[in-house]
Amino acid sequence: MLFNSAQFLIFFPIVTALYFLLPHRLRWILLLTASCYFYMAFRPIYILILAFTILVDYCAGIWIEDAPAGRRKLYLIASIVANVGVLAFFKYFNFLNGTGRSLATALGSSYPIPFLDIVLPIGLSFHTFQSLSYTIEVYRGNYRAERNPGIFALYVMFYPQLVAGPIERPQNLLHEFHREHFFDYTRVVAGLQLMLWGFFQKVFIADRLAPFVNTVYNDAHHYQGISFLIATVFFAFQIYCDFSGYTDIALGAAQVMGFYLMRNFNRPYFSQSIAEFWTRWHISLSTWFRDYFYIPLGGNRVSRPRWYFNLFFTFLISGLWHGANWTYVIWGAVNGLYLIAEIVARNWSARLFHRPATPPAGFLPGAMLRTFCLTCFAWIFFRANSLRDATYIVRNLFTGLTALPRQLHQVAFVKGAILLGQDKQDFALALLGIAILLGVHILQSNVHLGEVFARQRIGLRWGVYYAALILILFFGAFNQSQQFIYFQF
Amino acid sequence: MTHLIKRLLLFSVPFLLYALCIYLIDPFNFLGGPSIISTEIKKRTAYPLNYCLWKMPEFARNPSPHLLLGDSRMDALKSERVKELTGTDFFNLAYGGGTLREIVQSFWFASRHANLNRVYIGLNFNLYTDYEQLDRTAEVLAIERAPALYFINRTVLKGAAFSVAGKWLNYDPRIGAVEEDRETFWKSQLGPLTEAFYIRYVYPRKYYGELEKISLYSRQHGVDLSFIIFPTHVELQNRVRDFGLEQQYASFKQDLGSLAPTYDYDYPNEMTANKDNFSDPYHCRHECTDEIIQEVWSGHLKYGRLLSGYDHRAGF
Repeated sequence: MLFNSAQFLIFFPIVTALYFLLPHRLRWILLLTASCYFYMAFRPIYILILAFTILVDYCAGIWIEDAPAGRRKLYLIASIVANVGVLAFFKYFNFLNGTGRSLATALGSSYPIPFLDIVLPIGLSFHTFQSLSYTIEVYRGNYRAERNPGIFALYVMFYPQLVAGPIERPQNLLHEFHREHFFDYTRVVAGLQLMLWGFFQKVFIADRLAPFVNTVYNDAHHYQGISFLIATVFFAFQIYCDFSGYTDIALGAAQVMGFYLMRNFNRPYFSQSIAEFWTRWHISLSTWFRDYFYIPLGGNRVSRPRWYFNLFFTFLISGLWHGANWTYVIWGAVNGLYLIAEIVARNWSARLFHRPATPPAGFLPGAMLRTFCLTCFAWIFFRANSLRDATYIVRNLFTGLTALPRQLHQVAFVKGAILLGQDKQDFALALLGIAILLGVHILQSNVHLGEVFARQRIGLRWGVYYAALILILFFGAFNQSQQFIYFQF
Repeated sequence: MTHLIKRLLLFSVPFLLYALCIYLIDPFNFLGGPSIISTEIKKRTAYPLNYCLWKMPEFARNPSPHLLLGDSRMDALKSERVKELTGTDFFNLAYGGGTLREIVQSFWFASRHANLNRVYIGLNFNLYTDYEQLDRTAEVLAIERAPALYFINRTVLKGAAFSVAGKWLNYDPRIGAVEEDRETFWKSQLGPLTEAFYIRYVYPRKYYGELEKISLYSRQHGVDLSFIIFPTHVELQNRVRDFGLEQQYASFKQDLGSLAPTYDYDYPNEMTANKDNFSDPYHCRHECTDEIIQEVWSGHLKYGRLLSGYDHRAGF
């Protein structure tokens, strides 16, 4: 079930109302049933995969806690193998098989393994990682194993964050299912506000930008220069609003019921370095990789070359996590190289100019713009349909820019290369959406917008709600398929 | 919780009132309920805002086995006139400013609602491209799947406002009306508009495939499919050469001819050489459309020619 569907508009109020009407001891059953229904609305049969993961990790958690020291690791490894095995089969089998086939063809030998007709279960990477975080935390002794299988299943399946995160930790979420949440008007309204902002980002901004981006990236070889620049910048905002919009709806829906999920985004395009960007973008995944992958590899407490390798390798795997395609691997590698280059540059700068090796504090628009441009460059690999398309776009990113001032007077050029074949009203709305987003982010950097908003008069608050709803309903894009980009991961 | 429910109900009052207004106005006759505004006014004020939103639901309500598809040139073949001249009822599902993508989508839409028997597709070279395929059918199909979208559609809102203004203020939006004199308009059509079509022309591999599917479906389901290439003025025909698209133009005719019987009027002849036969380089006057109707439906071609590649007797 998509958040931005009519189904969800019926589902959410019913589940929320029932949640507050039912006694506390029955609420987890309601939420678990609702979460199963939510997930099965996509493809019912895949609930079995989820059930398998839940069963394995539920048992693993208890066995790890109860087992003698020597055997605990064995159960953890079994849990990791089962989880990663499911992920590898469904997500990477055909990718690895295709790569093997290409290699065999290049070497002139036959390759007998056929492709399998596998449909990737929705949100598999998210709930696998969330489930893994549980067994790892139990193994590390940071969290006690959950004895109620229903509550544990709910931790993995909690519908607001089931298909695209945030990837929660048991310390943050699991115990919350045992706690009774009372109806709190202020909290509920704040949750609904967050949902409204999420819908605005998704329907008004992301879905409005999508046709511009798709036009260019799905037909890359017919475009050049300015079209690539526009489509790539638009994609940067599209993917942010798509994912951040989903996250805000998830956070808001959970908050209405009294659950506070972890923050996943913190105005990432205002970052002044790539390192900072990764502390602000998809925070739940970045911290997951940091805690369960990068640090166990040795983190930065190793030799310098090994540190660089750890960084690079972590980003490479993070890229692969996003999708079974070389474009994602390259995207991860580019980000890894950015980080290494940043560290090297900072160290050289420190040595040459006797400056501290830490980034300077304060507002630095130049650094912000540089970080945004580097991020946009990396997004090319993320969005391109193939590596061939990505290299074509990179090679032609600045082609024809010198002729631009002359061409801006040609109607056909403006229509095709700037408006990308879309309506100029839609182009203006897309720019308006980006401007509103940036405006909100600038305000957020100075004040807690939610608190300031709550202090305003009802007329102003309702005016803003009406304006947001009108923009969503009448200017949102409802015609194309509006699935969230991160659902495919 | 009661406080929240009360507030939410109060908050939704303007939206409910708005929905009621749309229900009562129903600018595109989509809901089919009682409307306070006549179809005549709506046709003048709302219909030109989105032809698809008017025609597709109308077709769904009154499906016909005989269909006309295309852009404004096919739209000019009024169903009533076709019936008058040929005795057959045809539903005209062609739209002003139509694209090949819309034609393809409309064909499949129609095939879902009717057992098609005879289909004429009007297709000219400027539409035969893979580049810039505007698709107004998408929003109609979305509304068909989820009728609630009708209430939050911008065009519907605009149509409702225009219809109300049309009824009580006698407002005429004059959408698509040509304000310039004939010569200026002629030049702008030959210049910037044609440039917009041809400068980024992309030979339609994708849409040729789509037309092939339509052709195959027609053969399998006994649909009598034909293409009509409408006449354009020779000055416009010559613009093809200016953009170096002669080869693509020849392929266009060859492609259509290979898919179904194709009536070609777009070549230098008496009809296309005479400027008086055209209101602008793209559109011939109704005397010519009448001639085309008579020729195509009777099979006696005077100005038109049947393109080779398709064997009439043997079929495919």
